[in-house]
Amino acid sequence: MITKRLGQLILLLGCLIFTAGCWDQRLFKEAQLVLSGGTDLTDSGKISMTVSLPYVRKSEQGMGEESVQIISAHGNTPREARMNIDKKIPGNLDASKMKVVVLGKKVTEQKIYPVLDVFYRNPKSNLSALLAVAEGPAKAILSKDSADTPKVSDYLRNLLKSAETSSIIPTQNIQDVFSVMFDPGKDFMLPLLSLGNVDIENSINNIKGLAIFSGEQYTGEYLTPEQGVLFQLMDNNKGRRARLTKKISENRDPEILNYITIDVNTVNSRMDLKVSDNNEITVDLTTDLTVKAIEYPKDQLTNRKEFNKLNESLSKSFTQEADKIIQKLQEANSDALGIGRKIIAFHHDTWEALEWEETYPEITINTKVNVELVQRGIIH
Amino acid sequence: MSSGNNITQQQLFFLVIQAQIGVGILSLAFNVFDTARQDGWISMLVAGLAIQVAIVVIWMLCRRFPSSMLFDILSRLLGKWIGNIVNSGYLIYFTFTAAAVLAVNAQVIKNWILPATPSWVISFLMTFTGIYVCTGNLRVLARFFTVVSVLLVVLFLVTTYGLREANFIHLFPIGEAGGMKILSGAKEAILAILGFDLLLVIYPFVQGKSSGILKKVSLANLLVTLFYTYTIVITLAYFSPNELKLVPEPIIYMLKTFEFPVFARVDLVFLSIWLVSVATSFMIYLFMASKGIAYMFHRSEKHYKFVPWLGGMVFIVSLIPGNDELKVSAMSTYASNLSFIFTMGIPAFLLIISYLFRKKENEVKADDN
Repeated sequence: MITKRLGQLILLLGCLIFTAGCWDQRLFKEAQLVLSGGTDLTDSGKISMTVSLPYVRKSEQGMGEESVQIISAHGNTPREARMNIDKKIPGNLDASKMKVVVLGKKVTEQKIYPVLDVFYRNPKSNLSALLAVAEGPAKAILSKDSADTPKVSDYLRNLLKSAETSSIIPTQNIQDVFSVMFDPGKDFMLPLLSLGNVDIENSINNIKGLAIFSGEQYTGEYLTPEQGVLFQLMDNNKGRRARLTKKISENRDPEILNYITIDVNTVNSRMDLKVSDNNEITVDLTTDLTVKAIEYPKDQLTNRKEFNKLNESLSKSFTQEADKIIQKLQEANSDALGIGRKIIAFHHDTWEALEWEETYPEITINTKVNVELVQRGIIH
Repeated sequence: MSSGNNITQQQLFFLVIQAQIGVGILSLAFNVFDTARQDGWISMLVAGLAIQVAIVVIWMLCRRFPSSMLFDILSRLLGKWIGNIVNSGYLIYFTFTAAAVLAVNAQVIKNWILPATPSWVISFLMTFTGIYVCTGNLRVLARFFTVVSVLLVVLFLVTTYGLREANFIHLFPIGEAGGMKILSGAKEAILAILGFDLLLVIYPFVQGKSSGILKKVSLANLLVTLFYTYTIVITLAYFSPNELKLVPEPIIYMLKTFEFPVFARVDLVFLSIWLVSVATSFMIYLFMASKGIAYMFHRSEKHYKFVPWLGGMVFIVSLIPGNDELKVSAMSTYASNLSFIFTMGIPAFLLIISYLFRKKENEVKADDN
């Protein structure tokens, strides 16, 4: 009995050897995690890669001090540059926990798929990383540390995440961009990061807006954060919150009385696509918003008449703003609303007959934003 | 027949489901998209229908010989000589398919999870498990398959998460690919739901009325077809068409993007569960091959004696393509082409012969007709 038990035990322990997977263990102590990375183009056309590596400096007592090391290296491809970085650091460079990928402006002026291929091809890479464009070189963005958040990766990720929450940028990870990149009927936009101030001492990373891409290339144009919010609303893509400040009159004194700030409660945006017999395309984009006034210094929101007046002027000025956005997108030849995708799906013959890249800037897009004020906070 | 070999119709249902769901599910959406574009899901439904026809053919054949296995039927209908040759053909088909399953499995696991582990180790573990389960009788196999079927619910739920990001406009325009392309897409889809051919071998071991058997197998086929169509629709909607051309295993690629609060790599969860479904497909082919070889050596009751040898052989054959991805896919293409002959062609031929020459079992008639 005992020997039988013993035999079983030995068999079990023997099986353990097979379950351990000795070849593919990746020990944390040997890995050097990269949490954010940036890609730039050097003047000679090489790829320059910058990564931020977190490490904990051991101290005699208590918690170690957390800090970040920024390392760059050149290479002909992003992978080669990464290998060159690996030569400069102890441990193996491990990009599987990458949180943010920043592309320098010069890289994005070329097609961006080639520099991102390494992310999509490697099974270990983190496809839910966020992608952003730097107004200048990506290295500058990654090198800028802020006092209270030593890890630039956390800082950037939180910056982008909060912008998603406030509907300034769409919720999209690196895989979502991949999907749209290869779609002939849709273009994407990426958050544009900027250091803001020219004076390096006082500068801080911030979101300058949404970089408008046409195909795989950055057009150099961008939507401001306010336009970004309105665009997400037009695209039926509201984040958790959408907040806008608008000027609704000209002549009040002091200046502050001319403004209202609203929170968008609900949004319903409809794209009405009309294709005529000779393949002329007209798009009517209607966006219905119900909003809540959260700051209205002028007060006196007491009666229906006042409400209607506000609705009217808000609708008018938002419609104007929407027109500006559409104009910008058409000039940049960026079909960020995915009108082409709708034509592929519902007017396939028209799509076959058209050269979309040439047609898109010429089509007629009418916008209409209807605002309805439904709440006014706890005072009138 | 010893009683340990008999299974209930409920168990048959799970056997068929587990045999049908296998390696194919990963690349299914990619393969049908390749030919039928966004109409790939229609191809899948057509494939399910075609398989249903094949199931009815096999069932009609087996019903005429209610207590004989395929190998028995073959020698009765074709005579000893030709019967044995075709029998050997089936043996080669079963072992080769099992080897192809092993090879594809090793390649996917190596690509996605264990890049540094030698593929023979991955295949060896699978073979070892397969041999262990197959040395038991059919009832053991059936019970194992029934228990692991719970895992399919997890696969379903994990896939459903993809709906969150699905963009159904990618499915339009419906029917654009045209009839021919949809049909050739269906050919690809059929390959992913093979496995129902197990009925040829295990029909005599199933208890109950033959109409009940047809019902259970058809229900299993319906369920698998719907499940596959569902995964295809979700993946087609998730990826933009031109991206899907680049992603050979779209379903796990999609899952890799999702991030849950507790675990980040959902694709690993999916693959671990998928591994069980692959194991069941592998086991059923190994089991059928061992039944066949036991029959040829007139040792039908002792198939388990042949399992380790067959397992070893399958293991060695699966190593032939090595790490060459193209050779592995060539191997699975061969296996699929063979399967058209052995699961549809030959059974249909046998059925015609048995009707023409009015051959059927002389014993008591099948109990319901």
